[in-house]
Amino acid sequence: MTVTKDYEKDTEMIQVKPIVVLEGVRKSFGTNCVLEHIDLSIPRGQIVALIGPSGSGKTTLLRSLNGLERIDSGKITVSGVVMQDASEEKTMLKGAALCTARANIGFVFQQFNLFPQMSVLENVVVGQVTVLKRSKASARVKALELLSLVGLQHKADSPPSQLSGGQQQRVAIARTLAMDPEVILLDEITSALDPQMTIEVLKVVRELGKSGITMVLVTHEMNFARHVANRVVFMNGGRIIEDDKPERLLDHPRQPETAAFIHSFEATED
Amino acid sequence: MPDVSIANSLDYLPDLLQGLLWTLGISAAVMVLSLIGALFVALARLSPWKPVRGIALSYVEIIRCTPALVQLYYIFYVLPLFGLALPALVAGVVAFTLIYSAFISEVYRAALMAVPPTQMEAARALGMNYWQAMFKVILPQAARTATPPTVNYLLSLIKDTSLLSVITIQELMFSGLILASRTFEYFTILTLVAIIYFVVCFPLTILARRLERRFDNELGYVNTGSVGLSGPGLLKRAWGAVK
Repeated sequence: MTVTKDYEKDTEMIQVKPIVVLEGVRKSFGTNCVLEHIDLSIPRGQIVALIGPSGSGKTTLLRSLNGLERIDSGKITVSGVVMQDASEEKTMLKGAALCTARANIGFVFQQFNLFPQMSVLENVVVGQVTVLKRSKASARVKALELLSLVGLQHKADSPPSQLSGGQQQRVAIARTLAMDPEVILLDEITSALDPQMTIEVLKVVRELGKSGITMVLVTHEMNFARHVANRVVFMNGGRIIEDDKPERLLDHPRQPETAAFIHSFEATED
Repeated sequence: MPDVSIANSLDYLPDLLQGLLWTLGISAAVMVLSLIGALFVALARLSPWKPVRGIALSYVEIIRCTPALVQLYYIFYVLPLFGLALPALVAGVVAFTLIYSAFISEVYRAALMAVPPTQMEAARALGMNYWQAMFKVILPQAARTATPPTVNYLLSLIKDTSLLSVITIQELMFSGLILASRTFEYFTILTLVAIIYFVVCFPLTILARRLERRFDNELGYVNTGSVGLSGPGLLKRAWGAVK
């Protein structure tokens, strides 16, 4: 690191600097190794789709990015903050620093996990007020804006239980966006939805992709990976097997493992 | 058939209502103390520290597996042998607080465990710290699950305080017994006592049922989506299909 650096170069550096970095990440549950030496670096604004068979480590990787999962070795950095470093002395971000970092990393769950005792609006307000210390009034304005972005402003006062799965997932996305995160992690967000609902949720995510936010998504929707992501990472057995542009990886996979996986998918889709 | 005289009944009412006041007063005191005590017991039961869990579990099981009457006698008649003589009223409140703290702690514990762990994850992922997540997300849900069974315990507490008659507290039951032994009008007086208990307790059963229905609808576990449905939601949908 040089101390003297002119300003312009410095800002350029920051823009080129990747926002999510995994270095030599390993993780096992008991004797079962789920992540085996993962190196991955994601530039700001990129939309990365993680694909692969069940148990390939995609979801564990995603969850370790915001500290929901603890890694055994390696280092994870998200927007300049070391989330966990298990390389030499094991450190995991804790307390207030962890909370601040997490507010900056949105996470959307497969099962939505909305708070059932709150209205739709309150779901989108609560994080802003408790974590970001925004005023109730401004949080509500922001929440209503986001609800209309996902097409659900008319449901603001409903309890989540009265919404369809697709609507709940859109609220979950709005809840995450309310925190103004720099990175959004989406964990199989359409796996619990029927095809119609899947389309409505994917529409929202596609719009989001255009805004330039960084997204990492675990998905089984190959078409979605193809049309929304600008990079696809294929994982198998806890390793990254192939990492490429969607059209190249999906249409002309170089690794036989990737080809077999994509082929199996096409077979089930027919 | 013994005869029941309405006129006599009216004569007995003041004494019985005086007794009822004690019944309700003691029940209220015990309820407040138990609701707080149960929180500590529940936390101890869920403690990450094994000895704490062990002590809490032993306490709960000892209370659950011995009769309230024995516990009551023990505190009132046996503890004085060890130099701890409590006035009847204090002994009664202490005994029932110990008993109901144990029972209600189990309600709290079950209610906390009924909140899906993914709720905590979702709250933490938003950036809430543990206590914010607990107070904003977990406890409000647990409270909804815990309220109906807690109201049921309040109901049985009111009836259980009749046991206090054995340690000379003049609550409703004992007032009735005193009157009856003086007048030999057992039929009239015990019928009155039963009616008074019923009039106090019946609205509580309705309250418990209403709360149950309301909270069921409110939580109705939404976070299971269209793939898995948990208990209440599943039943509701099954019922809808039948209709």
